[in-house]
Amino acid sequence: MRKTQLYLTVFTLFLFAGTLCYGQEKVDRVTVPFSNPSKPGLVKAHTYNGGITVKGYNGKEVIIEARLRGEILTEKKKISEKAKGMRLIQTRTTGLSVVEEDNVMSISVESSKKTVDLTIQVPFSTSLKLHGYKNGDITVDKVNGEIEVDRYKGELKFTDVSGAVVAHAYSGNITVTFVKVDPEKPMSFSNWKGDIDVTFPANIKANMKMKSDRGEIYSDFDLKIMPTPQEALKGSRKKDGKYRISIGQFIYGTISGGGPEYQFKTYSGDILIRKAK
Amino acid sequence: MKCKHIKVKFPDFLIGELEDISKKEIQEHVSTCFSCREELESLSEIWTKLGVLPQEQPSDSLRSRFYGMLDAYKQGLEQEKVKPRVHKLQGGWLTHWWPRQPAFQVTFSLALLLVGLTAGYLLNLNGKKVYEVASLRQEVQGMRQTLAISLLEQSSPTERLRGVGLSYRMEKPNKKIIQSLLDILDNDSNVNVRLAAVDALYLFHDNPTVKEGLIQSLSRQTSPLVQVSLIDLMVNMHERRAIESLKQLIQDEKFNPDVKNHAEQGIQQLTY
Repeated sequence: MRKTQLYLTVFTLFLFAGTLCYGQEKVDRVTVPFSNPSKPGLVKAHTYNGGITVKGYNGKEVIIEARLRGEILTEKKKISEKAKGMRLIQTRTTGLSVVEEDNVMSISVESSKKTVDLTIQVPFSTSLKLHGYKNGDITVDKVNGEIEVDRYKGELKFTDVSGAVVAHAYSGNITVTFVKVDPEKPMSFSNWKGDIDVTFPANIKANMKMKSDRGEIYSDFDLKIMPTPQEALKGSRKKDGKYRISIGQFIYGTISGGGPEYQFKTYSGDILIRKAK
Repeated sequence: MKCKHIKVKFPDFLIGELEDISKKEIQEHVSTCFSCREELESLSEIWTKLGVLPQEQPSDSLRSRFYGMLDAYKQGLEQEKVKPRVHKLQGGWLTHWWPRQPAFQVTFSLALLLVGLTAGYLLNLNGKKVYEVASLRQEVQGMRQTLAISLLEQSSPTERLRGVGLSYRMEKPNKKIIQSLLDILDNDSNVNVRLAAVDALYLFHDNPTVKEGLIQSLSRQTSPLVQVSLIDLMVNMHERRAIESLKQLIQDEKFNPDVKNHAEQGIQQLTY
């Protein structure tokens, strides 16, 4: 938005040293600062093939490692008859690219054929937007901010996070432990297959909205079950004199009088809402 | 945003009162932005035309007319000077009442102010109270709608979730909110936000636009989770028209087998 909108850092890394580290894992490592380190930044990461690990650390910069998963052994086997006697020249790169602009850092890995795992170290107060497709899990550890994750296959494991989480996985368990929650922000967790297991601090105030089509819901919080807004609305709208109960809708409940809305939805898994001890 | 910022500088640019950096910035911007170039060109055309206009020369009679007017004004001033004395005489009885000490003057003014405030408060108490509450409620409703719409357009998913949450607490959402919710259902990048939108829209399914939008949306959804929620919704709405789109869904290969199962159950419940 400002007049001086500048791309602070643009890194695109190509590795040509392939032949030198034949037989080793390939790792690209870059350190990128935020344009305004005094304010919490946003890190966006996108991979198609591979896992993402994000860790909060006591520093100001973002340290990114892209690791080409050890395919090199199988590569040896693949050298075909026609190339017999020749050596494979490594042209594979991690294809890592990082763009930082206005405190938003976008990290992506271009490849889809090879598996690249990203390990990102961020300052403790950072918001995340992670997106991945297959081959690996997404883990987040000790990060405080708004965390948005979308994953097709693989588990989501968040430990010791604070702030707010909006997470979706198509297949894979979602496991989250909170240290603190943002008292204002709503959250949402959803998947198709796999359990949703979230541990909240004991003192939270929230409105819960939960649904599992094929599984069960468990909680050790003192949950007050409320009528759904739909039911409440129908009560006042008895036009045809019929009374309808909708089955298959969300179950609504409040914890400690209510607060922002937390939505949990799974098709075939269980929902477990735990109180931290 | 950039264009707006640049356009402000056009007049200074034309006069030539800009530093070189800003000048360069404008020239660079104009070379890429068509609308700004057009505006600058038309502005500079007007500017040169203004320069060509001949300067008005005062005619001879102007001088005599001006002095005539000045004399008339002077005469008028002199007549005014007589009047204030009359005012002073009239204000005589007031000056009698007015306390001489500044301290008394202040207390007197404060007392007057207090009387005025109390009178105003009492007057307000009697009337309009009911009307005010009603209009206040309407205002809050309006503010909530604006807030909800602005939240629905945020880039952060938690803000959009908040927007969806706000909109289903409304008694009568306006068209704009309904449209934003339908847009979110079809286009939002986040599955969680789309799921919340399904639930919010269900509350307003009496609205024909909503009903139509929900039926249409079924074939556009890519996430099985949202598809299943929509199927549940159709069943709850007792919407027979949805049977056709559910049948199509069962035939379509791209859908998840569990979703198809769900759709079949849905059809059974709807036809029963």
